[in-house]
Amino acid sequence: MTMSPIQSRILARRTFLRTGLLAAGALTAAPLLAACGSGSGTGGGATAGKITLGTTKIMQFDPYLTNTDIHIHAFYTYLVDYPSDGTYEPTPAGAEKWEFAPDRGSITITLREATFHSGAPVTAADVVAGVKRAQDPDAAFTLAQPTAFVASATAVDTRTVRLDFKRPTPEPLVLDWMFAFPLIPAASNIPAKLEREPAGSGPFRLEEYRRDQRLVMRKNPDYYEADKPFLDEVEYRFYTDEDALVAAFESGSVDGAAYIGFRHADRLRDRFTLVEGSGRMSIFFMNATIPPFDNKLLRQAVARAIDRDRILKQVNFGIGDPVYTAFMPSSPAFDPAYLDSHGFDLDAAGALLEQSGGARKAVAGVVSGTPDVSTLEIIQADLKKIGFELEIAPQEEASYLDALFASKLECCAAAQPNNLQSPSLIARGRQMLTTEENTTFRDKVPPAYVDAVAAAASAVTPEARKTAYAALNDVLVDEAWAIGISTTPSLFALVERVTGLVTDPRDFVDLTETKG
Amino acid sequence: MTTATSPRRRLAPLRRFTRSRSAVVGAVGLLVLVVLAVFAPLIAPFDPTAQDGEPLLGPSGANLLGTDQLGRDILSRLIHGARASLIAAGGAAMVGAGIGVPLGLLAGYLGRWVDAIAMRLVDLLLAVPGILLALVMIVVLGPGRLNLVLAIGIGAVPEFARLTRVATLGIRDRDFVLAARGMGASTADTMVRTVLPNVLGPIVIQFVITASMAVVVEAGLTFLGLGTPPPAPSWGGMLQDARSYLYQSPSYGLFPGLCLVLTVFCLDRIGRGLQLAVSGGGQHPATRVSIGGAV
Repeated sequence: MTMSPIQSRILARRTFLRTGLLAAGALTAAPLLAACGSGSGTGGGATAGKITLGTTKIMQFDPYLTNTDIHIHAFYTYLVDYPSDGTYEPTPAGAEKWEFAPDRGSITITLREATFHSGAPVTAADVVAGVKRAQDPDAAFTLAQPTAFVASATAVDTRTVRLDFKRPTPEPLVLDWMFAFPLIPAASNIPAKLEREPAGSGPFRLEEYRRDQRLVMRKNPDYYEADKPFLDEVEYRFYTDEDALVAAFESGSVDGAAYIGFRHADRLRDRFTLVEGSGRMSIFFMNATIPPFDNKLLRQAVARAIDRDRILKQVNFGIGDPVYTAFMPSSPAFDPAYLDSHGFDLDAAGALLEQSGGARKAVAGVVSGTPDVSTLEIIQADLKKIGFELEIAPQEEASYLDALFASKLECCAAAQPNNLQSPSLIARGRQMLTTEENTTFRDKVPPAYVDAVAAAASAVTPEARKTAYAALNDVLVDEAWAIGISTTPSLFALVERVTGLVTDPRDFVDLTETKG
Repeated sequence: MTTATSPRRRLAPLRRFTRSRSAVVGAVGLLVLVVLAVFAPLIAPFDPTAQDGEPLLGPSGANLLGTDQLGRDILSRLIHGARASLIAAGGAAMVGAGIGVPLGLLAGYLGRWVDAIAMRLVDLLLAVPGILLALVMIVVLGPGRLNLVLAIGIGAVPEFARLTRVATLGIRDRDFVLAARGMGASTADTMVRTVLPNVLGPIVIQFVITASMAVVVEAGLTFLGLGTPPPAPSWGGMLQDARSYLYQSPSYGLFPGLCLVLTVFCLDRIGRGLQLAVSGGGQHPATRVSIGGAV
C-alpha cells in the first residue's frame, strides 16, 4: 500500500504520539510495579535479616563527644548494660564481673574475653587509656563529669583493671559510669580518628558511610554474645527534613523512621508499630548571669507559671510525663511531691512576682520551627496573665546555640539527658555544671548546689543517699534556674516485621535484639 | 515639567482600569483586606493571642473557623494576620521603591560613572537570590516586623532601579525634558519634576508586583520561623503551625493558605489592571506619559 506524503506525516505523528504515550506509561508504571512487587512492606529492597532505618540526625563515631547519636550503641560495647525498662539492673557486657572494695574506694573489673572489630583483643590497657581520655574535659565532653570520681586506673593484668576513686563513691554512680564507658582500642582512642570511623567491639561493624547519605552496618561475627545480633545488616538513610523522612517511611522506602516528632504519632499509629524510647527531658532554663533572671524570686515566680499538663497535652500530644527539674521519673531523686508543692499555680507565681520587685519583661530564645516555640507560647500566655511579658525570639539553630553557650540567652527551653540512677549526674549539662563553665551561672554557681551535687556523688549508704537527694532537690527548687517541664520520649515508627528495637536509658538505639 | 491636561484625559487610565473586571475584583478584595487589617480589633471576635478555647476545634458557632493547637480562635488570627501581610507588602514595596527609584533615576539621567556604579551595586544585589538575601538579613538583624520589611524591600531594590533607569533613558533626551533644562531647571529639579512623573507608570506596576511578592516572602520566612515572631498572628506562621496538625485538624491549614492565595490574586489582578491602564492599548509603559501628569 502506498501512502501520500500527508498520510505519511500523519502516520509518523501518530507513531510518535503512540511511542511517546507508551514510553510515558512505562515510566509511570515502572515505579508503581516496583512498589507493588515489594509487596510485604519490606521497603528499601530489604532481604531477610536486613532493615533500613531513616533518620534526620547527623552522625559521628566518637562516643566521648556525643550523647545524641543514635547509632553509637551498635558499634561499641560498654562495661555494663542496663535494660530498657528503666530499672537500672546492670548486666555484664564488656565487663564479665566487677567487685567493689569494702570501703567503696575502688573497684576491680574483669573484662570479658572479646575482640575489637579490628581483631585485636580487648585489654585492660585499653580501659586505662580510655579513662585517661575521659578525665580530660576537652577531649571527652560527654564523659568528663561522670568520670570525675575516678582518681586513677591501673591494669592489674591483661583482663583486669582497678579503678581507684578520689573518695568513697556510691555504687550506682560507678555503675552508671560503667554503663557509659565504651571499650575502644587505645591506639584508636583519639578524637580525630573516631570522628570518621568507629573502633569498637559492638554488635555491628561499619560497612559503608557516606556523610549525609547512608550508613551501612554489618553484623559483627565475633560479638561476645554468639547468637546476636539477629540482623545481618542495618542501613541508615539520611533525610534533611523530618517530613521527607516520614513520607519515605509511609511510601515503603525505609522500614523505620527514627526519632520522629510527636505530631506524626496519631497518623502513623494505626498502620505501623510505634516505639517510645526512654528519651530526654525538656527543661526551661533561666540565665542567672544577666537580668532579669539574676533575681532568684523572679525565677521562682516563673517556675510556678509553667503549665506542664497543658504542654504535655497540646505540644507533646499526650506523650511523656511531667517533671519538676532534670530528674526522670525513673531517677531515685525524683519526688512527685514537688509537682504539687511547686507545680503550676498562677496565684503563687503572681505573689512571687510582686515580691521579686524585678523587671516584668524577658526574651526567650528558641530554634525556629521546633515544638519548643509552642511550649514557650503557652508559658508566655500564662505569664502575661500575671503581668510578665515574655518575648519569644525564634532563631536559626546555629545562632541559637552560639547564644546559648555564650550565656547570652535570657531564657530558653532545652533538652537534658537522663541522669540514670545517679542524681549527681545532673551536673553534666552545660547549664548544670558545678564549675565556672556553667552557662547559666558562670562564676556564681550557688555554693549550696555545688555542695549538694558533691554530697550526692559521695553518699555511699542508702540512708545517706536519700538525705543527699532530698538536699539536692531542695536547692534545685530554691535556686529555680532549671525548671523541668516534661519527659520527651524518642519516637520510632516501624513496619510490622521489625521487632525488638529499643533504646537504652541514654536513648541510644539498641539493635542487638532487633529482628526484621 | 508638567502641563495641564483635560479631566477627561486624566481619567482615561482609571476608565481603562475599571474596564477590567478582574482588576476591579482585585481592588475590591484588597480594599476589604485593608479594612479588615485596619479595624481588626473591632472586627475579630476574639483576642488573637488568647488561649481560651479547647485546642484544635473544628468550625463551629462559637469559633467560626475553629481553634488552633493552643486554643486560639483561627478567624481572629486570620483577621489580625492580614496586618502582618499588608505591612510586609506595603513596607517592602516602599523600601524597594524608596531606594531603587532614586538610584535608577540618577543612573538613567546622569549616566556615565554614576550609571556604572549604580548598576554594579544593583548587579551585586542581583547576584544573591532574593529569598536568600532576606534570610541572611533576618539572621543578622534578628526577627521582627521592621527587619522583615527591610529584608524583603532591599531584595526588591534591583527591579525598581533597573526599571526606573530604563524608563529614564527612554525619555531623558525627549524634547520636553530638554525644554525643561533649557528653561533653566536644575538637574535635580528636572529629574524630580519632569522625568519622575513621566516614568511613574511602570514603577506603580512594579510596586504592586513587589507587594504581591512580599506577601509570599513574608509568609515563607514566617513559615521558616524567621518572620513575624510569636504570638503575633501571621498567615505564614499559621501555616507552619497547621503543618503539624494536618491529621488532627485538616481545615486549620486551609484557611491561612486561602488567605494568601486570595491576597496574591487580588494584587496580581490589580497589577494587570494597572498595566492595561498605563499602557493604554499595547504601547510600552515607559513610553507613555499618562500617570502623574502628562506632557
